[in-house]
Amino acid sequence: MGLLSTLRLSRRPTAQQRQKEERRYNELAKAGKPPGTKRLCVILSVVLFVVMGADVVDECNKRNAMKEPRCVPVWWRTTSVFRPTLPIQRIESWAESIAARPLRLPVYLEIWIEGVGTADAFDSVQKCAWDIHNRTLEGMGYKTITQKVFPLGIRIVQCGTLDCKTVASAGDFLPGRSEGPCFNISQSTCDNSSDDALLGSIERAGRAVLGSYVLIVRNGQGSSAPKVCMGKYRHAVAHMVDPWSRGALQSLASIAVDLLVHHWGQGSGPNAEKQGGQLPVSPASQVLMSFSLCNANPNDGYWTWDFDRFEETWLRPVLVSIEAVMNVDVESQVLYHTSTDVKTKYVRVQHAHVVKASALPFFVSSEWQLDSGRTVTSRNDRREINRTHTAHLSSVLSPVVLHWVVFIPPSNRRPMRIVDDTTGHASKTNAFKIPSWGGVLIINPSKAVNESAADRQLHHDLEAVHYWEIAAVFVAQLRGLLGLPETPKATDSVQSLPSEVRGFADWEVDVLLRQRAAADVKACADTLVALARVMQKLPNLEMPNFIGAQVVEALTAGESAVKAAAAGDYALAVLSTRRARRLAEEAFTHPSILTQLNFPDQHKVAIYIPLFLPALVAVAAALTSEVTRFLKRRSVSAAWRNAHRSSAG
Amino acid sequence: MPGIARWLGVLMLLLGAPRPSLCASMSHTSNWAVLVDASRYWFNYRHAANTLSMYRTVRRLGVPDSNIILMLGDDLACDARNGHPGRVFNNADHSVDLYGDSVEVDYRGYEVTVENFMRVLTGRHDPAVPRSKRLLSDQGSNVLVYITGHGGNEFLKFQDNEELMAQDLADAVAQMHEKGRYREMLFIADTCQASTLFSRFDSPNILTMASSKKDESSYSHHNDRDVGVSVIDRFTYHTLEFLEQVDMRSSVTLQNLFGIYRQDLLRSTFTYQSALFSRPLNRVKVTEFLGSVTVTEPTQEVYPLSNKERLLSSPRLTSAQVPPQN
Repeated sequence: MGLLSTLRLSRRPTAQQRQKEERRYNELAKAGKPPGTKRLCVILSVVLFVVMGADVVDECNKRNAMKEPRCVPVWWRTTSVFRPTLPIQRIESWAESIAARPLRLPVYLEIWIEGVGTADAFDSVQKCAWDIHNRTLEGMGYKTITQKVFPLGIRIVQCGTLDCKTVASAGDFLPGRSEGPCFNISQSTCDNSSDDALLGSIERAGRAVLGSYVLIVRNGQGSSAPKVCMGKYRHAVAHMVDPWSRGALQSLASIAVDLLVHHWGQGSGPNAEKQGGQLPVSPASQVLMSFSLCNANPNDGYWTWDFDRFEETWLRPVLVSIEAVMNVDVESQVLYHTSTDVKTKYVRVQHAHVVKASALPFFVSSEWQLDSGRTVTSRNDRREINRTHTAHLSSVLSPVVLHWVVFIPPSNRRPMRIVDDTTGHASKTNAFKIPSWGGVLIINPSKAVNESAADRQLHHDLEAVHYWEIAAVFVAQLRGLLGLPETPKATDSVQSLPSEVRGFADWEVDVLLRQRAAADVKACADTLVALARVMQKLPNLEMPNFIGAQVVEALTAGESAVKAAAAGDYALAVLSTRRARRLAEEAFTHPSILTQLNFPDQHKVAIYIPLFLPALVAVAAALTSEVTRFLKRRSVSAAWRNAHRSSAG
Repeated sequence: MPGIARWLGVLMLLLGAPRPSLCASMSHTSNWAVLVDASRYWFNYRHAANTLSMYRTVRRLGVPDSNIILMLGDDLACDARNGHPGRVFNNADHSVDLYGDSVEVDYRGYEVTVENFMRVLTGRHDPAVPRSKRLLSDQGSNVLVYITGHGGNEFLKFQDNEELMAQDLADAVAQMHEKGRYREMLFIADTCQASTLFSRFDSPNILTMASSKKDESSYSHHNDRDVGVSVIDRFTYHTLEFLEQVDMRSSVTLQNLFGIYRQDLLRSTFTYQSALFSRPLNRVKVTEFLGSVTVTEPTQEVYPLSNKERLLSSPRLTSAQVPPQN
């Protein structure tokens, strides 16, 4: 029933009353009285009520109501797609600026040269500084050296016995004090203890900070091709005879370039985004490391581990050192009956059951229950939810899972060794890694020899040597997965010391940070552009309002990251890039966004016709009858008036 | 004569020499599979059997279970009408129990909805959804999507209750492309009017295979008098027959696979759509989508970690300069 009928029904006149009223109406018409518009107005307002929607009746009574955008009918509003307006212009221009000038965290090299140079040497020193600067950019792969493509600062400091002063500098990034500190280098050997000892003086000089590196050149005995001792922090020591001589400065420049291009300055080249994008880290910097001890055949003895102790002793120092790059959660399990499909062959020469390296892709069987049973929300995430006000947006991103498998072959296939197909050499580590998945290590523990068959015990614990092996292989594989050399590489001119406890040198963590910062900003820009494009492309994609706010927040974080990087603030830049990326990714993958409003036209007709047709029929019928009635009376009354006017005339 | 023979030999060499593959350097890094049985009820037994057969095949070809999202519309193995409780067959000879061991169904019964399917594709899940139910693919992943059920012109019925529209599917894939959730995708549909389901795609690197074209039905292969219903569809049956000859190391291409679909076998017209796909089909190995091959790198040396005594006596365990976590 139409609304009009409802209105009329409220005090429905009887048939007699209606007839009487009609008669009177017709009489009035015949008497030449023009029709009043009150009735018509009432009817029209009802029609407007239906067409324009209930909430805008007041507006529609006004003349200009039709032009008001508020007059959209209710049903139109309730069925239309709701979405926030994204700052598309701003997103695009920011993404363009990132593409034109990618984010690069600054690198700053200070060279402390022992002894006092002559005035003649100072001329060549300045040249030397610029030489290092330009050759480094070239070595990193930058095509144009003139532009400020990457903030690199070089400073050469003369360290006399009494004072130190800057004698040359190059590049546009030179933070901190201009005076270098006086120092007393006692290091003569290249080992970890002298490296640790040096750290103190570097720290006192305020130079042991992210992105800032010190090359100390000692005047003393050394060969013509000096070997640099690069420690696990952010400094290196070189010994040279008369370092202020022209020849020494030239070879010093080569050393500095080598150090920057191949070690300290890595992660700053033109492809830093790509390197950073390949790191196995989730957009929210979450990594779950899942350790599994797999006993292939437990029926004749199986091993378990004291994982808590292993984690505390071996893993914790490693994971703490890369905490700035990724948040790591660790879990462990012991699995049984994990047999591999790979065939082994006993080789007498090797005294071992041999697995060919070419068969390794099929080593891990999909039957092994390596899957982490965890849901996406990790411990760190939950902490975050409590901390931030945007709790509704947290933890929609899943962490990256890295698997570390320790495989114990069945007793009849022990010892098992991996052997290279071509060379026939046994692998030194008995381990292999699978990019972006994790690593596998085969260990061959032996049972106690003198146990009798009677009291043969099935259960064994791994020994200390196994824990060491697992940890050492884990660090090598993790470094490999992160794109670093598995073990510190020694070149002709550089001898690098391993970080024996933490597995990662400070400068290596800097490299990873730089790669991540570059990749995060790019990922943030790409994601925001993708979201903007998706919105423009899919008109039916619904989106809640807070996604818009989230996008603005991500943009702001991204912009502040760029600013912080330009100012050389590593910590703030890294924080902001990470936040920008997380916010952008969360906005894109938020579960409240879903395309489900694609309805074909037949569907729409089929839904709305049964709803609107019955209502519209009643309204339209009432409107037509009222209008015809109005017109009829007007014509009758007009006819009467005409007749009277002519008779009067 | 010898001269001619030599020239011929050179010519043969030039023509027949294997050209270096352009795509070898940029091969995919992981494989994912989304297998969907969209219909329910006992008489749609064959759709579940289709899907489980594909599941079995991709597992056999090396895709780990963690990379397979299996959606089964109904639990037919435990249906009251199943004379072989706990088992599902795809052939009247009952040679293979598809429901045998370690089948991990990720979405079952009422969870098989258009919404969940779209969430799997776009990766927009509630935080509580476990990892095993998510498609965690990236821009190096090859993704296989297999869908079976009852379809019509540009739609596929889910659970006799709602429809997946061709436009919905295309929109989801467009978003996957924008977000870098796949490298290449292969869509396979075994439903009536299957090709119409893929008619709205406009994202790159998509290849589609459909059991029938518009206004055509797809048919079941044979009935099992013991089970009481038809157990597999024609298109899937012949696909599997071909795939049984394929193993992990096989170099059979999609071109070879497409060659087996004949009108008289399927009673419908097999169609594929490769306009959005960049590579020639005779270069695309079947195992690139239906299998998974892992890349391994041997670890050369162990990292020289110190032994425990030195570890405990070391002065610096933690670095004080790392920025705080965000």
